[in-house]
Amino acid sequence: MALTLPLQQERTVKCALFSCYNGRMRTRDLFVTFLKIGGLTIGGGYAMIPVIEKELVDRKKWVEPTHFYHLIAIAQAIPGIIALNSAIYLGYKLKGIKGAVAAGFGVVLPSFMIMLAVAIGFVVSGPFPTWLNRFFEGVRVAVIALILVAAMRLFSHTNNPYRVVITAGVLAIMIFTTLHPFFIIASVIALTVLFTPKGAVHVD
Amino acid sequence: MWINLWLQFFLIGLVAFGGGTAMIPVLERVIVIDQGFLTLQQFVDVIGLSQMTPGPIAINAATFIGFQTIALTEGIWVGILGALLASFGVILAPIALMSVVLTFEHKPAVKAWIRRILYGMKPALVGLILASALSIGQSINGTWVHFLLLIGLIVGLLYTKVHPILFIVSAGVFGIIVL
Repeated sequence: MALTLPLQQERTVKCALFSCYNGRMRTRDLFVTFLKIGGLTIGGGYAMIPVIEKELVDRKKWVEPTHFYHLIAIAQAIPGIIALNSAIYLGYKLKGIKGAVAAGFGVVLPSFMIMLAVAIGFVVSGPFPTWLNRFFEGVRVAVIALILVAAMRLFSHTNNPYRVVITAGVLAIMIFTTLHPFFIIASVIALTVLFTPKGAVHVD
Repeated sequence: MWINLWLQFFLIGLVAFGGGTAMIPVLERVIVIDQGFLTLQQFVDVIGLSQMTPGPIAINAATFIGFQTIALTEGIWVGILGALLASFGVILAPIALMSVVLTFEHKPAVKAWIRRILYGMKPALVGLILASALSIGQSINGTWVHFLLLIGLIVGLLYTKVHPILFIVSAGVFGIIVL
């Protein structure tokens, strides 16, 4: 395929809805790009967004910046895995269903393979040696720090005037009752839908 | 056991608002308390490992737990099927919801609904996340050294641009040397 003529290379890719990318992009490229993003980004979904932006917007120019920000708003707004949502969304917009499958599969595959290797290692090796136990004792503290920092950031990103009450209320329910988080999430959705005043939520 | 494994991860995927760290409360409740797939300490270790390896936390956790749950009784090769099943479960709901959004996203009403739900959801998630930080904290036999480490890590994460993985690994090395 190295000998394709220049004319063929400039063939415009039919893009669904957005991205005016004028060049050759194959489903395979999409898969490889997301495979790279999935395999090299440590720290989960939020860490992946700037990497996706750098790769698809800045370097490959497949997606325009404004469209990318639109995607971020949507990927964060619906339940699910942010990295996977973003990959499916971009893949679909760029290459239809085939693109969505390629991008989604690509972003998930490295994570699955690496964690599977780690899990096999854990089961085969049996109980931890002392030094590894100590290592994880430190890591556990770091996990708590990460969780607290995530909570602080999320809290500062809300404009809900009742945020202190809601946060404290949910925290109290979790500490003093055995209600299931599923139930709490469902109730919050129902209450929000019922009681959010019109105009409180800004819509572009 | 197979169907239950799949179902539990499907449910986790369904309510995974916010992604990443925001999923920990639901993961913890289902995996540790409801199903007993892991002890609390093992669960925290899996979260730590997920933060140190590439990819989304939910998929990492599903892969690890799916493998371990099945492999302990059925052997390693069958365990790989367990990992596949759990991972497939956790990605199914997000894929379905994403398809719905892709179909209807151009309608302003849908956007308004999503914003509305998130408006109340975010502060509630903060409460859920804080609660799981508390219960994870109880799994550690904390001394003032742990506490100092925690404060140092929080300050570092908030006020520097250093990648979180460096803090996690440093905390681990600190653990080997000091704890």
